[in-house]
Amino acid sequence: MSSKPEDSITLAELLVKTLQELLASRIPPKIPDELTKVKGFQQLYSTLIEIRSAIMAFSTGDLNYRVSSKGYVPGAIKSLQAALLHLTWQTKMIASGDFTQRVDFMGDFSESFNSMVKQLEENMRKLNISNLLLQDFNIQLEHAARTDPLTGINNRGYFSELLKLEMERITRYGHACTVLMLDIDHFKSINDTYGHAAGDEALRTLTSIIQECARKNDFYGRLGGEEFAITLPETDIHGAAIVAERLRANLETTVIKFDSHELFVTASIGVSQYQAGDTMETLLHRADQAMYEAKKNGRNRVCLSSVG
Amino acid sequence: MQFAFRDVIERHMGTEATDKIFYEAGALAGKEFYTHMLTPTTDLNEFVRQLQKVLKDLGIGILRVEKADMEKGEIIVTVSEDLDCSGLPEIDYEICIYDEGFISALLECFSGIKFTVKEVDCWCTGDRTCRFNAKAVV
Ligand SMILES: [Zn+2]
Repeated sequence: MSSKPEDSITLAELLVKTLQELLASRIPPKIPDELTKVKGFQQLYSTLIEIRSAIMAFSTGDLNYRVSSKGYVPGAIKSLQAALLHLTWQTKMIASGDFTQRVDFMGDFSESFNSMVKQLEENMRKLNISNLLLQDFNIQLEHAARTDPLTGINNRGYFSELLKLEMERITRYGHACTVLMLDIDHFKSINDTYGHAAGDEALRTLTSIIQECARKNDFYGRLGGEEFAITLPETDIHGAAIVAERLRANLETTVIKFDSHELFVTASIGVSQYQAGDTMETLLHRADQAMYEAKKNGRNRVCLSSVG
Repeated sequence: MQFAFRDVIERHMGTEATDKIFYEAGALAGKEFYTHMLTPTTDLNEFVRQLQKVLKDLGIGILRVEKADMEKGEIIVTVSEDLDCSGLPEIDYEICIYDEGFISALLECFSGIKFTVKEVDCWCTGDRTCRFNAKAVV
């Protein structure tokens, strides 16, 4: 089959037109019949179509488009793809807290990205410090909310919380439990005679005696004024009476020093033991009654609640 | 060099056996490499970081992670070697079997799980980049 030179030119022009259209048009041109017979054209055409599709996919954010063509241009596209996929992975790592990731293959972008990561790390570091401070502050706040500022032991609120929990345990397991109610005798006259500083010192002295006498599982608090309470879990009223007597005797013989004065104080102590059906209020109330009984009988003594 | 060497072995042993030899040789090298060049860690990031640094420092290549899903046991990495590949047949050239073995051993040493590594692509644009797909063997 012979062909005239004009035919070759026409064919070449058609080829150029088709390739131009392939580059320029939104919709790729159909392969003209004349070109389907040109050796290698179909292959070239599908490679170009793939390159088109790959670039379009990347430009719209689909980084997973697989380019199967070989050679320099597809290779360059794959390098871009590999870089973007790696960058995606790095970003994920940074999001999970790995601030050592650095980009080194994206020119100006690398620099901006890396300084952003450094900034992020610095901010996270500051945030962590603030968080620690805040945690610490919360702990202090929580402690303050539970503590009597003068004596440093539980305040009424927190003592009640602890006792409530203990009541639940008692109801569930049925073991014994007693409560001591302590009240410093003639506290008002100590304040009036020696001043509030003396009264405060007396409260602190009683506190340290309670701390000494309390056993591992006992807990206590200042309920207000000169009134204190101690809970003795797994202790019956006889055991509690011994602890109460020790407290009373220790306080009586402990000298309280403030300024140039030395004085002694005593306390009246009421003891009650948990009975089935008791609420925290009834248990405390009986201890309170026993404590008033002690006051009535001359103070500086221990009285056991008659019931239980 | 490796290619001439490979050609001879291939002529005597056949392609399949040659591939196996190269994969195993790579795995052996990978295991040695892990033992001597890396500090053991259980953290994938840390492992990758160390590996990247050593490979770069030794001029072996640039390792980049494209995807890593340790739960699924699937990892895709690329390794770019700064070597002039203009003399190599760059079309349809995908036989970095030694590297496959090398990477599989590194991953196994790191995770304690066996990995099958397959080179899924290879291209040449100044330097040569190979893309490897690693899958945990369940
Ligand atoms: Zn390769």
